Amino acid sequence: MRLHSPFVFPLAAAIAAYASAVATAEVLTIEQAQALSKETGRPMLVMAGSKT
Amino acid sequence: MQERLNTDGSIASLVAQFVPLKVETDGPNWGQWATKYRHEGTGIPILYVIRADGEKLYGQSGSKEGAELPQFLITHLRNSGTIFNNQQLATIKSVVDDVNKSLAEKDEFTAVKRAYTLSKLGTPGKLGSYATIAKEADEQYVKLVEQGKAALSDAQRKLTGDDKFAGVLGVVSASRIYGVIPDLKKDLVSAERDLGKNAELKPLVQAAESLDRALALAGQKMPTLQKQGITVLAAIVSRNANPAATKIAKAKLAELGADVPAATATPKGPRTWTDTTGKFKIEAELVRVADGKVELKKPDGTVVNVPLDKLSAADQAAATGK
Repeated sequence: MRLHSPFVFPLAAAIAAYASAVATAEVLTIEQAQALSKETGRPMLVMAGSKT
Repeated sequence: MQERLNTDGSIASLVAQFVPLKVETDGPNWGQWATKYRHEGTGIPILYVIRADGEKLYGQSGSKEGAELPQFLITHLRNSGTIFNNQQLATIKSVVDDVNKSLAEKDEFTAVKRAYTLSKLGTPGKLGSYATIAKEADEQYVKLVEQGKAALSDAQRKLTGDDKFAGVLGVVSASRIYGVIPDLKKDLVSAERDLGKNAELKPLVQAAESLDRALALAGQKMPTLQKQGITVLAAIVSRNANPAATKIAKAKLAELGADVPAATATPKGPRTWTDTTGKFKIEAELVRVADGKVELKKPDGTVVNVPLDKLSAADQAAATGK
């Protein structure tokens, strides 16, 4: 995991990915969520819990 | 809570304003996450709200149930800056791109006008969103405001120097380009009003406005507009009513590769002639220039001869038409 990911989504891709993720309840990786948050200005709502 | 976030329609509009993320506390990424984002309390689940700039707004063990959940979401959205929808973000992106393009073409007027269209989404320069493109738009607008302030300040500095026409032209031009910006409007209007109150500068305003409009048109990409600008610039040169305007118009025509007409007239009627020190002034009409001397006729009919090189640069240009 890179918390300071240099990976930057182009805005259109970020918006499309966000819409898709929300529509399908797709699970985002930390890098994807951070990139989306940065590009869209939306805060991350994070639930941390056990996988099991 | 996770189930409710996905299925409760009554809070869907709030949830949609967040980017959802699940982090596994027994997964490989947990250590790094937990080091960066400390939380309070013990046990799982742990709930976090991380603002788009990476600032942690909330991090505590325990979930939010019942009416507590929507209230929790509302509270943290309030601290998350302006949240624009996808269409608004696309609009901001389009404006930022257009402004950059106009600035690359040195068309500040169009850049300012386009940047100000963001006023329909908020206060330009203070959109208050943490979205990358919105922050870029804010920075871009602030830079334009600074440019406008610098342009006005530069013009006002010139007004105190020898080349007063350049100062008047600077004020007129800054007003046309940056006048739409509320932060600058007051100062620009005040600067223009001051020109009108100053007996020495007032006569220069009309020539400056005409030249500014012509220069703006001549700088346009559209051939019809550019042609209009060239026509007006050529007229300014032919008329030669203001030597400083003539000189700038000539330079622009040459830069554009357009024909530069001959200046057919010298200034008619009395005007104020100033020496190189700026201390001595005389109201007189130009009779002729010969042997390095300028013959001037005062309103009382007396004729005085002044060495050409003793006149200010602007007056030398006025006398010689260069």
